[in-house]
Amino acid sequence: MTAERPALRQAQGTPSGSRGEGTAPHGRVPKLERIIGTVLRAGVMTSSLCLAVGLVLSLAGGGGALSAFLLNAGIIVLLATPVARVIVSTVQYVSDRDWAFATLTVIVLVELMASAVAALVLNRRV
Amino acid sequence: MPVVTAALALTIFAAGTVSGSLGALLGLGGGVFLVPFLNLVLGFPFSVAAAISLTTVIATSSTVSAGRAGKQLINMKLGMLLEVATAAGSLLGGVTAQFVAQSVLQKLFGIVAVIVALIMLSRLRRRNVILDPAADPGVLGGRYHEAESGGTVTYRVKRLPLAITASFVAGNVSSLLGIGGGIIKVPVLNAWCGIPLRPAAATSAFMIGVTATAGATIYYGHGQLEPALAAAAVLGVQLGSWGGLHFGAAASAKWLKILMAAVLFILSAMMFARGGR
Repeated sequence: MTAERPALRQAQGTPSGSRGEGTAPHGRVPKLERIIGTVLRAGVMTSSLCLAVGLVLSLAGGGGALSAFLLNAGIIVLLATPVARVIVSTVQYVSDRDWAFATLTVIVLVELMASAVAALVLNRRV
Repeated sequence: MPVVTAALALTIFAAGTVSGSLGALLGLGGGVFLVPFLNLVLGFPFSVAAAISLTTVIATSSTVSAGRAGKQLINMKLGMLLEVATAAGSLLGGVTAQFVAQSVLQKLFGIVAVIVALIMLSRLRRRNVILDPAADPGVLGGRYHEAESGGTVTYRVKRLPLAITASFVAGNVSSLLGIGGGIIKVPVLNAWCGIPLRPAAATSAFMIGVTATAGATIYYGHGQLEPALAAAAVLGVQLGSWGGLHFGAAASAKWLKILMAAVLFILSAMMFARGGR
């Protein structure tokens, strides 16, 4: 099949120069999707491991500093994983010079940071 | 904040496992079951229940999307566009939740649970595909391999403002109530915006991680998330959704949906009863 897929090609962030692969569904996994898959998988595994060890330690030992650290690290990695996914997308869109989508992903990053700022402001007030 | 004991952690782990497997079987996040369990059965404040549930929503989104990345089901461009709206809605909802009385959130949950049940009972099944493989899907449309027909199908995105509005509402409800919000986006994307069910569901699940992160960060930063209990819930939901996906084929989806719709009507009534006091 030789029909091109302009939208998908852009959407997946394939750099120019890899044209002509066609639309075969079993073809090479586009770069951005591959990176995102890796980021998400690594994030989930790291956070689940921290949470599991932290939980077992806290239940066994009554909650020491290490278990509290691991539990919080697990939560922070869990929260950081989607953020990391947006950051790699921004980097890829910038390197593809896809300014529209680079801007959109930057807006999402700003919104995510605003939620952290909102939490800090709420903490101060309440 | 509830005191963490081994019995409580195990109870939440078990509840997470059940919610996760139901969620995987029904194509929902499990939050719609987990939040009422934590709030009504264990008696946690609504915000504490929502915070725990949001962490499980993030974990499910990341796991599911990691498995799907590269299979053309997730429409990443559409997802990243709509995330601008879901994250804004979620940010607003997370802040609003800090100022709204628990009874209001319980009533809102009751309303959303009824809507979820009604949608589940009348699941929209429009195909929305263009079978000509050379058709241009446009900037936001997509193309994917459909296992049932064995062919490659193309779709275009229609009514983008509606998709953005639904995403904003879904994000808002997500962080107010601690659910993923896919139940609001997927039917809208599927029925009115031209997106076939599977890419609509995959794209929604992909976006939900960012949506729930905006909400969960507010609860966590504001000290409403107990990490040990979130850990128990996240691990339970991970186990449950893995189980649901691997052993789900044997279950009858139709009867399961009818049963779960009945459960949701009951949960809704309980939320109204509690919220009305």
